[in-house]
Amino acid sequence: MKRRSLLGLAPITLYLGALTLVPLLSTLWLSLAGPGGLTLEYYREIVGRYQFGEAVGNTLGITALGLSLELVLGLAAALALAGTRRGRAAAQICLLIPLGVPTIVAAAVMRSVFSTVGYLNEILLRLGLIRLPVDWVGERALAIATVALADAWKVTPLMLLILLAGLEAIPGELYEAARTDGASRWRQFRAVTLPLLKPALTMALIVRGVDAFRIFALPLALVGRDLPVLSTYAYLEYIEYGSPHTSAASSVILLLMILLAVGSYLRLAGPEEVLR
Amino acid sequence: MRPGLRGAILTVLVGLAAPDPAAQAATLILTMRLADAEWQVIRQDVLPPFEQECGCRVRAIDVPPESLTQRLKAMRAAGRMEIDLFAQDNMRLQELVDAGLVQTLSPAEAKMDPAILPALAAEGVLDGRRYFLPFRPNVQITYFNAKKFDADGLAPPRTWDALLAVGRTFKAKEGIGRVLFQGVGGAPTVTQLYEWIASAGGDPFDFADPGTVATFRFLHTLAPLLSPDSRRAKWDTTNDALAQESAYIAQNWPFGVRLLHDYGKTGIRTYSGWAGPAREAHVIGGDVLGIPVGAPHKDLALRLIGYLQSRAVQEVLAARLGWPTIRANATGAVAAWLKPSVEAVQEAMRHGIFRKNVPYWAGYERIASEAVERILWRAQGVSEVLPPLAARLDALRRGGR
Repeated sequence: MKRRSLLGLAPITLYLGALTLVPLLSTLWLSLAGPGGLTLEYYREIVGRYQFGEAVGNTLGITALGLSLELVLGLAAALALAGTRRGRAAAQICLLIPLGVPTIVAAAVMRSVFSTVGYLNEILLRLGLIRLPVDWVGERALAIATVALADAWKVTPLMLLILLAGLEAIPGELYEAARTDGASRWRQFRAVTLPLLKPALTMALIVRGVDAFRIFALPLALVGRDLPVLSTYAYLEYIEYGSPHTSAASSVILLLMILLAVGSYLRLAGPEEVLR
Repeated sequence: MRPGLRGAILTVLVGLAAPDPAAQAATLILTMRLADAEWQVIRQDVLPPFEQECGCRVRAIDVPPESLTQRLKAMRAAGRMEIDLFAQDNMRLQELVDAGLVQTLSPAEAKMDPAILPALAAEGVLDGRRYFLPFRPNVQITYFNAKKFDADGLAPPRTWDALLAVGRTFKAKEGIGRVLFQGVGGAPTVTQLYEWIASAGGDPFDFADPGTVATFRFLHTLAPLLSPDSRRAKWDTTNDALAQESAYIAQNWPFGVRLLHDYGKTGIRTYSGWAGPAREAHVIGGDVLGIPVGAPHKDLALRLIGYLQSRAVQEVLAARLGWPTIRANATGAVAAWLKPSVEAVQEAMRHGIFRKNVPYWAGYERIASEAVERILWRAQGVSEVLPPLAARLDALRRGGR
């Protein structure tokens, strides 16, 4: 029996080993392998560059802002849908459409919205709210906000799906009991919904958080190299400047950031949340 | 069944199942980096006659110049070279040679038709050896929105001062810059910068050179007059900016002419461009052909090179795409709408310069991009930015990487 279980695990072990562990270790090796042996030179080289610091800052900014937006919007939509029966299926389909749009297409759509001659500027100009077109991705803070908003548009439905599943797993009797005790809707939300939604929230934040840290195509297509994030930084180091070592070093730093963020969150939320 | 009989049957079966090597058509793999409209012509008009003639198949694949070296290295490391022939940006040749990825060509293999322009025929020799053969010269021309220029009574600028005046007029009238500089960083920015430095009489590889410093000072003055799209502008997005009228004047390769025409943007015209304080200078870019070390079909690749350089093919490329030609005798019929841009290209080629192939180009590109970024987009002073970058560039040149 035990032997059969081990055999059953073999394909997934092989898959993870060949497609995750080996590339991961190769990247780590590449980031440390200097001409004269192991070295931290490539890490020192990229950390010394101001563009790398900006890439770290931009990655953190987009992740924090994007995740907050997605959480608020996803939770609001999930709560609205959970309490609805009529037209729910249609609303759910409409809300899920952006999830099916390829990222590069989403970036093209967003470019037509946010470019200096885009729809947003045109609307604001016609309403007389601005006198000159705004370069929505010109200033760094504005560019971070624009990318976070564009990303939120595309991936909030995923947050919605996870949270909706979490909400539906909460037994209705608990709300009935709370109502019997005279709890307001806000009190029900705080005392029943939020604590019982914690596992779903944890899962949603981890899944989306990891993805947000790795954001790549959207900033590259929407803003270009002007807004480097860690993944585009690693990409350009490899492709544009032919430097696989510094590219690997920045990829390893990105991985460490993700592990640190997930670890910190689990420490705060409690690891049992993901193991449930 | 007796072992002897079983062996005989197996031999017959294997013999019947295996394809006849003579009947199998060879597949030649060719890589290039082209725009979609260009690929259409290559795949539909250029390659089929060759395939018919050689009885082979040509698989043409899009490979960006910046990733060709890595791909060839990976194939070599895997012990399986799949690419037979590549067309590569003439600025990214040294890295291929340094990595030992490209074959040297013997005088017999490199023998060229005398109709190929001598200046272009000389290209492709590195460290005294012939590695590459000419395929497609290219040069940037200037696109301008004739309707907007006419409305303000402006003529296309022929000097830096005139460019500044045009930029100031548009900015004063519309409150937003309409001159486009390809300021995204990397190859598009550095190509344009190289050209501007040369036209100021500077040495692009020396950031302390007076001509180079003058170019950066000019860019610093021009910065407030630039279209915001300049920050993201590269070769493809420049066409968008022109088509969407977020910029009224921009330099770019001639491939945009066909795109803009196909989108009905007939009001965008072209000319060779402007001169700097020293001269008018335009970088001759484009692609040369090379055969990777270990290419499986070298003979066929050499035949394909001869075919791509032929008068018939060069005429198709000139007539259909407006590409500059490598031959003196490939002046076939060009469509009427393409003629002005072909003339602009020819004029620009008359002021053509070749970029120096240096082994440290990737490092140079990084430093030059940083200079442009800080001076144009962070409004930092030229005298603050250039000296440390000049020192880094000097160290890079001495280190050779």
